[in-house]
Amino acid sequence: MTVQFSILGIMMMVALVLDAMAFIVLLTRARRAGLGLFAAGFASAATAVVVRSVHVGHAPMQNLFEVFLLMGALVFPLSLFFRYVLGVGGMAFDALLAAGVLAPAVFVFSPEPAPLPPALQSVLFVPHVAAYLAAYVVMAKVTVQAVWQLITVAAGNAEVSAGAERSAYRMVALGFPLLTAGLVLGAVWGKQAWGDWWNWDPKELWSLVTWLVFLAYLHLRALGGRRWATAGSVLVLAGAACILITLFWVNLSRLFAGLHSYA
Amino acid sequence: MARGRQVGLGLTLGALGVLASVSIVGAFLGAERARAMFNSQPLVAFWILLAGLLVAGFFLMPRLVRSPGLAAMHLGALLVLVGGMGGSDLGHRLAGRLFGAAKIPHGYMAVEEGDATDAVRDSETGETIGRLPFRIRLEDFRIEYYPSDRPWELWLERPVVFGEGFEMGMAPVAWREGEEASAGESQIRVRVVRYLSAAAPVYDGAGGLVGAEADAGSDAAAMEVIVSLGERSVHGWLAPAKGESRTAFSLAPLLPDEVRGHPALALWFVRPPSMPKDYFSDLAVLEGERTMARKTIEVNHPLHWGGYHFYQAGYDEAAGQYTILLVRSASGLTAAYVGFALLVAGAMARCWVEPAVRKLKGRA
Repeated sequence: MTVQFSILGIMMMVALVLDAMAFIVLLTRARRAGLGLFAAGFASAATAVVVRSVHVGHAPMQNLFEVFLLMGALVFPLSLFFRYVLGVGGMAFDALLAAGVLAPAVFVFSPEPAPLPPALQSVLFVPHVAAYLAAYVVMAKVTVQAVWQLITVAAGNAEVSAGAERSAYRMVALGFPLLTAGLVLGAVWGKQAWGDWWNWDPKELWSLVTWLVFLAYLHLRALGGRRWATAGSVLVLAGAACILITLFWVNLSRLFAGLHSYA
Repeated sequence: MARGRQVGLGLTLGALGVLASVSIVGAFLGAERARAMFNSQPLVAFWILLAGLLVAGFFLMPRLVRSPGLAAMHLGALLVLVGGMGGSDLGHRLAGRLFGAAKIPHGYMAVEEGDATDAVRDSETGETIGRLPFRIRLEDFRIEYYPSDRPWELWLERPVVFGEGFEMGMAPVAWREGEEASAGESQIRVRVVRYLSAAAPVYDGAGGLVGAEADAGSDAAAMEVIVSLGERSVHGWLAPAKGESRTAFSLAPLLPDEVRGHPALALWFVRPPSMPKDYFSDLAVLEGERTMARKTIEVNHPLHWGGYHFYQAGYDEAAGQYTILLVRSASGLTAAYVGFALLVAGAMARCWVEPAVRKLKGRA
């Protein structure tokens, strides 16, 4: 674990600390102060994103360091959307998620910039990655709702469990089109760069599995409504596991070497 | 109808489970083996079953027709499957048998600068697997590199005694501008008079290199050198042509007259290891002797002509004299792209627009 003592590293560290403080303050129900801290954390993370973009000369989406930095900055605006448009609460968790996503960028991943390889110089680079990052943040929130649904149903609290299930469904409905857009934009880009819109690459296949799992969730809900809420929550957890595999394992392990190895 | 709907949705869930499971297996197999598995007979039967389920959905579930979002998503998925089948090797074979459309599904072309070819080769065996109804000519191939702070390298190519004979070897020259440096263990001395980190070569009327001038837009360097061996010396410029990564300067005049030219003696000016920014092939499409189209292709920007796409896939790493093009038939692509558009539009309509409209109507 290394701590970066650069301007970028300090801004990211400040964002992480502010997000962690926002989580604690929001837990104490001091919503206004918590929201202020969360917003300040976002401002710091967003500035870090801009600094990084200027430094590397492209959108910061090339490697895991940049992806996690960007995701950390995305959580706050999405959290506002969850809260004020979808009516799904849990902002304290969102602040914790922002801190948790920034932590690997601050402590684990190398910030060493690298030039963009030819395949990444495409107009589809930004929309493809942005759609996936937004989808992943949304699905992280869905996962919390699913876990909460499973806990409350096990505790026999049917009313809270139903609320968690409704929230999870609303969030999946928000994230699924983003997953679809990410998958399709990737396919169109694959056609331009590699000659085929589907190359059976391990990362492509894990992305497909993720999409299929959430598609199955939507079919299950269409089939059984809220009757099979627990099965739906299990599917959400499976989808979250697939996202983690797509994001980390395929990138970090030599097991799945493929076309996305630079990512 | 409710029973049929339940059966249909149940079958769909089962199909999604099968596809997800097979995809996980494919991810462990690697791309090539996964491609083979997904094109095997059992999986072809599965794709047809999946397409059948999608079609059946429109008859069994009135909601699919009533909801524009659901209809678009399911029709999109169907079109993607149809497009995938149309673009597959099996799809090409079937089209050949049924309609006599004998297209080559995919292959490679190696084209030398100034040459034209219509031969498409197999990627593994290199054998010609078919000929296009037109030819592709390579007019120029070049690589653009990211700027590097490292100066270009000098290497001396000279014979090294090896047993009874000799073999050619390269020795680095640790050069500094304005100073004289030795080249390996040889007695050859290299004096770098001037080094231009971004330069363009200057030629005389006959095309001979006479110098170089600073050019901020160039990704190549140039160097003025004096090379000496004993009493003899040569003076000249090392300035690669645009897009080239190396150039040689013959040192034959340094050798005694009786051995001049045998063996070779040369000073190489070589780009330091640097990451390529992009690869470019200037292509022309020829039908007979007529040039039908020209395009400079690069990564992410293929040439589309005559139902095929041509992609920059490789090049002659030794001398940059030929390019390797990936050739892919465009069959099925339109169906797949329309399917993609419908999938995304349908998902957004179903998950975002329709609930918002329902909410607004509820408020009203």
